Amino acid sequence: LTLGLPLVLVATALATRALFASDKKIARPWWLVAALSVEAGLGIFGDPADPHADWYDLLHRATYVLAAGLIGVWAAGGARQRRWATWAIASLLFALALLAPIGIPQPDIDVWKLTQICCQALGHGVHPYTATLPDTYGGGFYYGYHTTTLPYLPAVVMALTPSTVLLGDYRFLSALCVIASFLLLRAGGRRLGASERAIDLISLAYLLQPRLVYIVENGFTEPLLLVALAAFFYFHARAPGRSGAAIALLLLPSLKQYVISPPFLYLGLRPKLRALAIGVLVAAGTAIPLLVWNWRATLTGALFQKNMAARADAISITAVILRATGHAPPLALGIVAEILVTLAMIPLLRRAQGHARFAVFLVGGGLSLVACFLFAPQAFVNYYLFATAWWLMAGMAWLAPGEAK
Amino acid sequence: MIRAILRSYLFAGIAIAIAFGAWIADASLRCEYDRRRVALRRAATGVVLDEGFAIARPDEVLLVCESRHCVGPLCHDDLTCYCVPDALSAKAAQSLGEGARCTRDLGNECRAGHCRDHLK
Repeated sequence: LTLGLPLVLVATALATRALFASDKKIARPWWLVAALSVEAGLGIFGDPADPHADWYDLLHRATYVLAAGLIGVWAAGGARQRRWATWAIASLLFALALLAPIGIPQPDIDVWKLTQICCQALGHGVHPYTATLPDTYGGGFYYGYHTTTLPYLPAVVMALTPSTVLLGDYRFLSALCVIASFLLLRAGGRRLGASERAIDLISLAYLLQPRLVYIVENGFTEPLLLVALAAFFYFHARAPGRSGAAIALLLLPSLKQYVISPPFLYLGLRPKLRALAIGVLVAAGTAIPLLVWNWRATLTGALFQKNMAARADAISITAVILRATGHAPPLALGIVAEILVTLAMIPLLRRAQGHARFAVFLVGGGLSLVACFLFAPQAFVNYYLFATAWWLMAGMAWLAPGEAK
Repeated sequence: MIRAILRSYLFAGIAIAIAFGAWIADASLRCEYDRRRVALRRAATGVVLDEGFAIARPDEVLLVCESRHCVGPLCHDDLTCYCVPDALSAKAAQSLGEGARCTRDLGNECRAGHCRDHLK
């Protein structure tokens, strides 16, 4: 909390300011290359999830060591060397993410165990929200609630079950989501007309986030959100306002409860009504099978998060208040903060044109999420990593030429 | 090219140095189990630990332990509670390193079963 909260606040302010202060050119490339190197350095420093095999720990650090060197090649090389270095870094990180379920077969975290058991249950024809879930920690930890209920939405279970059944662990799909999101981000940038240098820079900044592979290792559900967001980015770049973009964006609230405002902000991009209707139907469709099967159990799980106590170890203002006073602010405060930021973004969204409007939308989405996290009962690295992706995509849209600011 | 690669490693190295420094400062200077800090609270309230997420399981006992805590080059003494399976309580101090001393919590100093962690 001491380090994380100031970092979040400073980074949010700097990223937003830097984005809109830029003149759509990568004016000082060394600063940006340094940022990539810093990401690689923090990747070397950070431990993988526990308990991990020794070989995986070595591989984890070696990946980032090699990536740091390749960033130098990317920075100094010509077009061909840049392409080679980009794909070499990407291949290393893809391999690391795909090997995570092997190097860390049983991460010591309730998220993975609960999700894995519920996906296995669905694979065996048992309603996932009625599956018997053991306490991951054997009664040895109490977070203000018992970790014996699946707190995720039906779309998460539906999406992760095939990977659990076919490959034995849903995190293989999480790794594939990271890979797909990287490819979609690059394809979207190309569709927007961003330069190859900008595409490389932003996609590498995305992939080198020091905790990106960590969220795969721990089995957090954010990789699904990342791929949905990247799909939205790509489809909007290809055909703004059409059903592909609407489906991808509206899938976000069906994947995680905290994505409330971005769909409303999306109206500012003036999507087609038919596209919106299809998006809403698809998002609702992800929950309908399990609701029809057992609505009571499904709702109990999907709404469980409202019962979750605030955590003093969260990276949030809520945690500061909790530590100082012993009481957490109400749950609704996070939602109110998210809505207020969204409302504040509407005039900016109206004023912007073309790709800049897209960039403002993406920054608005990211800002509204950060506002929510700061006042939410829980906010951890996986939450902020998802918010970061909004800024990076905004950067790609902002750097795309040919449109007025 | 070589210069660019070296420069990239330099930036990565600086990031590691800053992260390492921040980690050491946070973990050692602000350690919530620092014996001096805990001893003051213990003298005033009789409590060694009354918060955190770890709690004793039914088959565990609570031990109050003093041990050496080193983060990088900085060391200090810790005083806190640990949850230990009853059968292993006699050997618990060994797992906390040389010079560690543990006694059973008989005076409810580890309030409501709270412990820093579970020792195996």
